[in-house]
Formats: sequence, C-alpha cells, structure tokens
Amino acid sequence: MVQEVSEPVEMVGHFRAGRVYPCRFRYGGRVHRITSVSSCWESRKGAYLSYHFVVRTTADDVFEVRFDGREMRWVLDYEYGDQD
Amino acid sequence: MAHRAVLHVDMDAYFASVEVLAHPRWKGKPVVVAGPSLRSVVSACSYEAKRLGVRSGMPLVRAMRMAPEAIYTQGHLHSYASYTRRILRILVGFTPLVEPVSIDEAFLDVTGAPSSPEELAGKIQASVLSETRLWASVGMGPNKLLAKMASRGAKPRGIGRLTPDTMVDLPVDSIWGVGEETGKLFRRFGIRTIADLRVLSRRQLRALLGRSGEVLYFLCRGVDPSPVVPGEEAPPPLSIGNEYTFPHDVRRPAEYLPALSLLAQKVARRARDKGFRGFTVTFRYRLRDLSCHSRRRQLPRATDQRGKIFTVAAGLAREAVGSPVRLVGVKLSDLVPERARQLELFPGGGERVSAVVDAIRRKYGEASITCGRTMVGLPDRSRIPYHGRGTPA
Repeated sequence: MVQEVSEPVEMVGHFRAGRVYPCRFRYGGRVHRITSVSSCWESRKGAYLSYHFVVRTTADDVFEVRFDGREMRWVLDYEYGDQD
Repeated sequence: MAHRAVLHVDMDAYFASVEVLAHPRWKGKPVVVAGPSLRSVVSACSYEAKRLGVRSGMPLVRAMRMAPEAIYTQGHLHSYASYTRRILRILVGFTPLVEPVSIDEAFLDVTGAPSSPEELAGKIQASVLSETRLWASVGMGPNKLLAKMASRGAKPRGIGRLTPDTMVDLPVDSIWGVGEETGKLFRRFGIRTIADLRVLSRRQLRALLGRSGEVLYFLCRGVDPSPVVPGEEAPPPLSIGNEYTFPHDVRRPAEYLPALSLLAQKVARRARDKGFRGFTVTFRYRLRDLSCHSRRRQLPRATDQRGKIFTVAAGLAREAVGSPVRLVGVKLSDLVPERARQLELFPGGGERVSAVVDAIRRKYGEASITCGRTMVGLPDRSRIPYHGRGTPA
C-alpha cells in the first residue's frame, strides 16, 4: 500500500559535485536514517527542477522524498508499505 | 579504411526495471506497466511477467487474466526520461556518434575506436549498470541492422554479435522491419529462415512485397548503409500528433470536443516548441471495432495556433463521426520552419496570447494554464487498481 504524505520534512543531505545525496530526515517524531537510495530521477515543472529519491532506511522502511528546486525544501511524497 | 563497427544499446524491460528500482520490494516479482485506463495496453513488463505470458502491446485486460498475481502499475514517463538522459550522458562519454532511437535504445558508431567493439560493449554495459543499476543488452555488427538484431538475440543482460554470415539461421521475422503479417506471408511459402529468404531473387521479392521487397532483398543479406545520426543532427519531424483514448466510447460532439481541444492545444504547443508550423490538419479516430479512420484538410496558410487547429479538427470530426468512437487524434503535417512563414497583413491577437501562454507554461509548468474548453466534460479515466504511485501525467 502506498500512502501519500506530501509533507515538508527536515532533511540532512549532501550537495556534492552537482549532485544531491539525502542522508537522514525527521518524520512522525522520529529520525529516519537513509541506508540506500534505490532510485532517483528528476522532474521539471516549468523552469524548476525537482529531484526525487526512493530511499530505504535503517528500519527497512521505504520512502519517496523530493528536493523541490522551486521552494528549496525537502518533501516526503510517499511512504511505501510492506507490499510495495 | 576501417570496417564499420556499430553498437546497439537496448535497455532490458526498461519501464518495468525503473519501476522496480522505485519499488525495491517488487524485485523478482512479475511487474506490468500499462496506461491509466483498463482499456490501455501493456507498455512494458518484467521478465518474470514475460514468463507468465504477458507481452508488450497486449491489451491490459488480457494481461490481467493471464497473470492475475502480477503487480500492475501505470507508467511514470518523467522518471523514464530522466533515466534516459543519464544513460545517454554515459553513452556520449564513449563516442559522440550516438543516435537515440527511442526512450530505451540507441545506436553508437564506434568505427576506428582504440578499443575493440567487444571491449567497448562490455564497458558500456558495466557503466550503465553501475551508474543506474539497470541492465542493458548490447548488440554489435557492421551496421545498424545487424547490431539491432544482435542486441535482440542477446537479451536479457547479454552482449551479442552478428555478421551477414552468422545471421542466416535466424527466423525471417527477426529482420528489423519484418512484422508479424509479413512473417506469416513468408511462412505460407515455406520461408522460415533468412537463408530461405536469400534464395528469392530481387524481382520475386518485389513481386511479393512491392518496394519494401527490394529493401528486404538487401536487408536479408545484412546490407544496411544507413548512418548513425547523432541526436542533434536528427532530421526534422514529418508530423506532430497526439491521441486520446476515451474510458468509454463516445459519439456526441459535447463528449469528444473537449478531448479534441486538449489535443489541439498539445499539438500547437509542441509545434511552437519545435519551431514548426503545419499546412495540414488530420483528424484520426478509432471505432468500437478497432478500425482506424482519418480525415485531413489542407490550410491556405501554415499554422501553429491551437484555435485554428481545433476549428479544423472539430469540423472534420463533425463530418466524420457517425458511430461511437474509442479514440481520437489530431495531427499537424506538411511542416515548415516557423522562420519561413509569410507575414500577415492583419495579424490577430492569437499569436500574442500563445506567446504569453508559452511563457507562463515554461515558467510554471505544463498544467499551470489551459484552455477552458478542455476542463469541461472530459470524462474521468477509469483507473486500474494500481499498487504504485501517482496520478497520470
């Protein structure tokens, strides 16, 4: 089950050599540490780019997060359940 | 002069593989990517789904009957396009002569490269895998035809090579361009392999298939002189068109005109983005029995304006549609570059409106502005119960 969240989140990430690397974020009163990025892609809305990441955390949860280039903020888009 | 060396890089089950990356828990499961409606067809499927009999191009409902346990998801084109850009950047690192053929395949001309084609093919496959975690199959040959056939034979995760001598045992329908119907025709004459086909003379093939028979005479001998044309040197488009499939068949103008307006808007916008105007507007429609029909009208002056395209397409639709339609399409053809247009003595305000709309759209995105007509009466699409994310693009 994919649950849509669409909430801005506090994220610690690296910006290195023209790339973005999400590291950990706060959501639901917990800090989720990212262990791997499963997929990443860009999307464009008009002149603004967003960077999407599907990440796995230490608790083996899977989330889709996005760095919104227009608002310059991180957004948690989806939380994937066990079946997804 | 060095022998030509062409590589064909073809991503394995591309859309499905990208979806599996985005849903790590789907790894190893049958995954089917299709359109947003139950009436759509399968765009791609994982090898696990292929083992259950699902194929690209199959109606979604048939695939669901065949593999009810598979995971069905709708496609996310922006994500595939983003991966394609990354893959093309990798390929251009090997040679500037890269011709993208579609979203998931490209030709590379590596003639005269310091490394052997085998070595390059291995490096390309490894680079694409390490950078994107997606598998590609690579075909090698002395031309595009043989490279393409070789990559098809090497799938999945393979590297293959074909020469005019080694292609003879392959089935006749493995030749790029020989479809199901031509293959059936050949089988009726007992022609099963490329070796069988080579027995026919040029005249016999022409008698059987017309002009394409002559082309086939050379193709079955592994002769294909077509060059690898880098993306930026690609020839201009012959036409620009879009189609829309209704969730249920429609007949009344009030039902299909909003869709036509949306299509005219898209076609006009794409024409302006590419810098072309067109003299001919074609209205295409598909009936309940899946038969396709079209009507076209020539304009006195080339256009890239939504209003003009819509007026002509709507007129053609009113004349043509007499029974329920399943799909409608609008196409602009006989294209000329925008800079070659004739200036109008009394220009209307439409072009200024389009320029402003384009500026808004470029800054705030495709969905930021649309014609009011497109928002009235477009039926909701019947969605399949997706496991995956998102809404249709």
